This record gives sequence, C-alpha cells and structure tokens, in this order.
Amino acid sequence: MIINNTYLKVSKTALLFIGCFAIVYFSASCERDDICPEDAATTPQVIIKFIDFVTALDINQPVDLEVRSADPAITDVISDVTSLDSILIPLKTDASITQLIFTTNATSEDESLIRRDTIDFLYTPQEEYVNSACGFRVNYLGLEVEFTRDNSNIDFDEDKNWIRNIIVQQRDITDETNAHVLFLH
Amino acid sequence: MRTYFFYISILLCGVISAQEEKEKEEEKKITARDTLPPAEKYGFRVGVDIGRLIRTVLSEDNDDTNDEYTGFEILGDYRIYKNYYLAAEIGNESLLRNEENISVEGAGSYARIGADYNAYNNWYGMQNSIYVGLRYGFSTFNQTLNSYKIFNNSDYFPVPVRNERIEVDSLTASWVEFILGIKVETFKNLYLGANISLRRLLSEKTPDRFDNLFVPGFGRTNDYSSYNVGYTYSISYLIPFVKKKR
Repeated sequence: MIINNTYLKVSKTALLFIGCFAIVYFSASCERDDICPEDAATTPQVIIKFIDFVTALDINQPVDLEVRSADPAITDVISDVTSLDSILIPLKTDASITQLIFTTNATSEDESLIRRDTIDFLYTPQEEYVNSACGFRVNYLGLEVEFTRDNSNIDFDEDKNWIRNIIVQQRDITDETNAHVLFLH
Repeated sequence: MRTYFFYISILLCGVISAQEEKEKEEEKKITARDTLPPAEKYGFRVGVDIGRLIRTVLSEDNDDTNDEYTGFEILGDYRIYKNYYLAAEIGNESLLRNEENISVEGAGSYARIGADYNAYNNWYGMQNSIYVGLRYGFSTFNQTLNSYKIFNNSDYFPVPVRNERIEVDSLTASWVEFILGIKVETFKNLYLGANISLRRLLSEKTPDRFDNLFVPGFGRTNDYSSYNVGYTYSISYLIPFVKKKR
C-alpha cells in the first residue's frame, strides 16, 4: 500500500515537473518579438507629388521618370518610381544633405527628349528609438529642397530641365501620410 | 532544449531518491510502533539558484553569443506559521541582447520579497512542499547600448551600424510576481526546488534615448507587453531552529 502510494507520488511529482518545464519552454519560445513588423513606424521616406505648373493644382504625372542619387558611388536607380502621381524617396540617414537627380523620358532613344534636374534635400536627421525589434529610426527635420542651379527661374533651360518650381508642404518628415514636397512642372 | 532536459533529470533523480528514503524511514517507524507524530521543523532555509549558475557556465562555452548571460541568486525562506513562509531572494545578473537592429546589455542587482503558502498535505515526517507565492521585486541596474542600426524600409542608401556606446546608470524597476513551485527534501535538511513565475512590471525608469531590454531579476522586456515569465531551480539547506508538534 505504502509502495503503491509512493509510486503514485513519484509519478505525480514527475508530471508536475514536466508541466513546469513545458510551460517555461513554450512561453520562452513564443516570446520572440525580434522581427520588426512591416507596419511599424520606422524611418519615413519623403513623399513627392507632381503638380501641373500652369494650373498649380492638377496632378501631372511625369513620363518615364527615373530617380537616382547624384553620388557617383551609387549606380542604382531608386526603384518603383515610374508613372505615379506621387513617389517615395529615401534620404540619407547619416548626412544632412541628399542630392538626387530626377530624369524624365529617362529611357528614351532620342537624347534630346531627356530632361534632367538635380535637387538638394537639406535637413537635420534626428534619431529616435522605436523598439527592440526595429532599433532606431530617423526623422528629417527642417527640410529644405533646392535646385542646384543658382536661380530656378532664370536658369531654367527648357532643353535640359523639367521641374519649374518646388513647394515644401511639410518641413518635418516624421510620417508617410501626406505629400511633403510638390514638384511643379 | 538539452539544457532543460538536464535540469529536469537532476531534479527527478533527487525526487525519486527522496521518496525512497522516506519509504525506508516509514517502514522503520511502523516496526518501532511509534505512535507519536513526528515533529515539524521550523527554521531558516537558505540556498542558491542552480539554474542561473548553469546558464552562466553554458553562456561562457557558447560561441553563438546571441545572449551572453551571467548571474547568481541567493534565496531564503523562513517558516513563520504552519504552511506560511516569508521568502526573499537577492541576486545579480547581466544579459547582452544582440538583436538584429540593436545590441543592449542590462546589468545590475535585484531583490524580491514576499511569502509562500504550502498547499501540499505532507505525510508524517515529510517536509516537502508544493507552494504558491507572491513577490514584490525591485532592481537597480544599468543599460548599455553597444550598437544599433537605423531601420529603413528602403535599402537604397547603405545604412551603417552605429557603434556609439551609451551607458546609462542608476535605472530602477519594480514588479510583482506570482510563483508556483515545488520543494523536495532529498537528504536530511537539503532541498531541491523548482518554480515558475509570472511577472508583471509595475514601474521602470528607462534611458532617455532608448529602452530597458533586460531588467535584472525581471528578465527580458517585451515591446508589447509588461508581462514576463521566469523560472528558478534551487538547492537549499534548512537550518532548523525549533521543532514543533503538528
């Protein structure tokens, strides 16, 4: 009788241990939160909207647009910017200036159709903690967008350039909800 | 996985040998026809958390240093009345969390104080327990940000890893925990124990520029919840002060 009870108790104890072990093990494995979710508010990109210069109201999609960094070390083109009324543009997170070249009719066979503008984005990058999975993000504060040509109106060359005016709508880039910059062309 | 099995095997061996000893004692008592119930021991029980020690050793051997851990914990309880125990733990630990986008180390000391209630009806002469407990925990620690990345959905511009080291001292945190555990007397006055605890953070002082990723005594923090679970495997020794009849 005593022996029976003892075995009963041993098995009960063993069960309890296995139970404890299982709880700890599964809770530890479910705990992983180290993947940054796609919808997390990480570093925002600049939203540029293309507006008709004449009406200053209507959306005017640039034809065959190509955006690339003016930095000769980067040869790639910023992808997915063709034929959209607004585009998302990444800025450098470790500098206070990003120089980008915007080209229309970029893939045209006829060289005379290609129009090009080099634009400076000036800002103060501000680092901000997100969470343990995403790490940090950067907000771009006090954004100024300038043509590299000295005077945008006088120096506009119809045979070379296509952007006539730039309006910064939101100077602190902290989210991706509204257009930050308008390009008039 | 293997680590867990290792802990379990240690403890199971202890449990079985304890039961066998009791069995023998029980038989002796029957033959001696001792009709008086054995006395219950009251005293101070002190021990260490072997789980934390094993984890420290394993962390040193491990080349895959995703989580570098060092820690120890001293635990004690004092039986105040029948099934009620005052209980406390003090410890020191540190964990380096090398996450994909951030690397932060938390290190410091902690204390927990509370009470246990033994819900187990022992046989004559046995001093085992299956208990529930409550604790209030408090920790003072530092967090060191070793390196981090700026998370960017666009990988057009290269994102360098920032290695700016930032250490923030004199941070504090407090929490409550609910414990479920077992303590088994394996040899005379020597106990093996295991418990799991559910912890809820009450307050924490975080660095200005980032967050606490590891709070000593509480454990890893979660981005989306203030709960955490923990476990302890203990070996402890009972210093009996008085013996009381049941």
